[in-house]
Amino acid sequence: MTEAPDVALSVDSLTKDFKTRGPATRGVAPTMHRAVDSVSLTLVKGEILGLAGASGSGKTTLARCIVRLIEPDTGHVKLGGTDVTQARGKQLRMLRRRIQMIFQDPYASLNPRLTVASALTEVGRVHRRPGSEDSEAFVRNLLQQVHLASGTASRRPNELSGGQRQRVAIARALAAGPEVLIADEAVSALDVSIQAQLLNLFLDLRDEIGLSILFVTHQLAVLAAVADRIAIMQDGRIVESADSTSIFRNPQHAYTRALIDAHPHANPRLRFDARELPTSAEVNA
Amino acid sequence: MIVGAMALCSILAPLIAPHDPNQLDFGAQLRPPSLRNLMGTDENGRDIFSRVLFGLRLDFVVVLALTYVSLPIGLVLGALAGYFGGIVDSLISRLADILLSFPFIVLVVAVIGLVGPGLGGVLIGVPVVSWAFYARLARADMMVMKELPFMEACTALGYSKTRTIFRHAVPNLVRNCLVFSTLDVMGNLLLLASVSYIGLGVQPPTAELGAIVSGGQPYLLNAWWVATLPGLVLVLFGIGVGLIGEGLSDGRHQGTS
Amino acid sequence: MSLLSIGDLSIEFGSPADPLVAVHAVSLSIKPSEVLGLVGESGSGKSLTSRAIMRLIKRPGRITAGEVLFDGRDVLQMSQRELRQFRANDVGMVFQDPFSSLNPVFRIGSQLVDALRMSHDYDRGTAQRTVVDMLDRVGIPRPEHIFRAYPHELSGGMRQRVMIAMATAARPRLLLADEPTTALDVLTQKQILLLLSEMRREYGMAMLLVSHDFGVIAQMCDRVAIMYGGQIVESGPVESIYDSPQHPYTRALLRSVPGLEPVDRANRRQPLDGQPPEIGPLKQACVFAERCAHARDDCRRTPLPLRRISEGHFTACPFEVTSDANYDEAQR
Repeated sequence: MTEAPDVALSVDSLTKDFKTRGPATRGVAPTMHRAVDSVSLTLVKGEILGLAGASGSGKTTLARCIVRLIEPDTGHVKLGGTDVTQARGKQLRMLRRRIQMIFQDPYASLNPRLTVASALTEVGRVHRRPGSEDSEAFVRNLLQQVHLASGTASRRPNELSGGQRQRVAIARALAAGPEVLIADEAVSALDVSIQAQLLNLFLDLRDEIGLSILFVTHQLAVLAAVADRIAIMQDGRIVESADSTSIFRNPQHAYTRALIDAHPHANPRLRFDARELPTSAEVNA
Repeated sequence: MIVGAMALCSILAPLIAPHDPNQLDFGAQLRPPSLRNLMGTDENGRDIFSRVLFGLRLDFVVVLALTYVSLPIGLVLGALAGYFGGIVDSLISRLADILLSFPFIVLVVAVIGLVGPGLGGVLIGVPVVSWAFYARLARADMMVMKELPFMEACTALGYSKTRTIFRHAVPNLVRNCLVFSTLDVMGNLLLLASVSYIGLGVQPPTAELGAIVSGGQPYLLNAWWVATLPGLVLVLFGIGVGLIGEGLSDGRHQGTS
Repeated sequence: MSLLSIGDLSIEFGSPADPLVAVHAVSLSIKPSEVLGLVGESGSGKSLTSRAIMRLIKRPGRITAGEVLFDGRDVLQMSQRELRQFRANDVGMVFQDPFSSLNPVFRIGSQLVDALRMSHDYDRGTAQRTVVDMLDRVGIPRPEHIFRAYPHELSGGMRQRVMIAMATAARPRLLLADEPTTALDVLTQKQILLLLSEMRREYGMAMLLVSHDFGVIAQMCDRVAIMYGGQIVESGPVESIYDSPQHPYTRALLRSVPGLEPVDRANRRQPLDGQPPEIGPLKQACVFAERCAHARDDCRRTPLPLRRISEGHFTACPFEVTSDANYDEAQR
């Protein structure tokens, strides 16, 4: 089966198990918990695919497996046609350049001792990016792309706000020249007005440099602002997947509907139906 | 500042010492402090002030050497143990645990016993043992740091493990090790003085603060200045170093939280 | 007759000679059984304000002006003993981080029993039964089992329920909730908000809900106050604020709240530029002037107090909304 040429990333039957302990298993031998259950998905070039689900849905584990921060147990990950699942050592490091990750916590995802310029030039050097020899221009260019003032280059993370740090994290990812970006709850820790700015930045990156983005979040409403297509994950499986408009106008799966119904509307006349009783599954969350 | 002044003195010792520290003068034994001999003379007629100056110089160099040789060794080994875990960690940690379970001085004396008394013995003996303190510290910090997103980001960015550990983790680990090192400097100072005191360290007639103090002990009652004045200098040195440590700790102790 | 009335509260940090003002001249009131929302972003001072009610401001912060009247008594003037009574019986607090009220080395049950026996004269047996009942009431399944669990064994949502149980153990008349659902995912958030509503109804509690998410506020609150840079910039009934927000910051905030309408190139929302201000010395200007698209010279030169524009609705912006203001209504 040939891959369509415009697929940036494809995941095929990926599975990941973890050992668990907890009040349920106290006194009993630890059981295996299937965090990701044979998940397949496709990220088309130049699109933003949203991956939504509550905590425990497996979406973060899936994201980490794709980037090989965790090793999947079975399944394949293909980056634009190249199977990267088995890559190791140097080959893996070279492949990492093509798929970058933005983490949730803007306060811990940057090395506190490096200035912005150092962090960015290091990436350029390690991956021998074109233009990285002229580090000043390289850095200036990257900062421009993420809408940061050029003066930011000499600052250290602790002098920057959360939104600025996230932009630096994005610039650092871009410095590697990736084809795919995975944003793991990348805006969840930010103020709402800053969130809106960052979401627009992701849209700009998609439009201006054709970046393909997998956007992982538990807030469906965030995806409304940024995703072209959306996949919904529950208990390690994808339960629904469609373009953004269909998901919101015509949700098929009960879990999708539950996520949509759980969105707190800013309109005070659209309040949660107080008569709804939670199911025990939801209460155990 | 205190340490700075002392450092200055010790560097300039050969220039400012009014007398040759080793010049014997049996005509001038045990003279009390005077204008000629600022701290008096010892039982061999040697000027104590000059001896203190030279002794300070020796102490400075040796103690700094001891501490700042142990630090990098321990830091690197601890970082490796913390990062890799598994066998690497087991080996390094067990070794460190063994070393740390003995009283420090006993081990150093044992090494000196093997190598022979004298400064050489101390210079080998101390680092062989004291790297373990730094290793433990670095390992603990590394185990916490390794989980932080910026470390994961290094992997995600395709950095080699070597680069991740040495260019990214270690500079962040150094901070806490430096703070500890000031305590260590004080400890090593006392250690050197103690070991010299019992005759295993610096050999006479070389001037060393601890040796001077011990040499002055028998004369404590009638010629108090022989032991006490150098002793005070020792104390001052220790305080100065301690203050540096506090300053470092306050200013830079935020870590990566 | 207000249950809680805060008058001209100011909280500062730094040296008294050159203070950094975190909260300035904040006044608000809550009637019995009413829910007031406090909305704002980082540095707005909303968390500090809520903590001041229980006098939980630690050094280097200090309350430099104002009064906090609970049922007529000024909390800021209470003696240590009165304060402890007040904290144990009259008011409860739920924090963002469910761990902060729970000691990780003790079991849940024993902590709740201790909390309960501080305010009620129960013997151990009665207290234990009451706690199990409370856990059941906050929707925890198998409460006897959870009674014996440790905090780290529970999920975020469960821990938050336990916190709510602890905070309401003494049937306080006022519940302070500081970002109670921010660390939870959206499904759990809904459960917790519904639980809070239910408890409010059952106990007739008043509530101060602090959040950066306007949606959460809109779901729960009767009235809302919007804070920016340590000051209240607009306040009023929540419908009134939603239908006709007056202050430019409120309008920008409402624009930034993600809705469920898919966005395409045509209807991309125009976000607010810049970022929330850092704590600093008091400025003689409108606190929002630097970031305001409509700011005029005067805005940067004189501080702007709240003015009334209609029943219960106050705003600090003296200008009327013109048709230039671009406000999208992006909800279902």
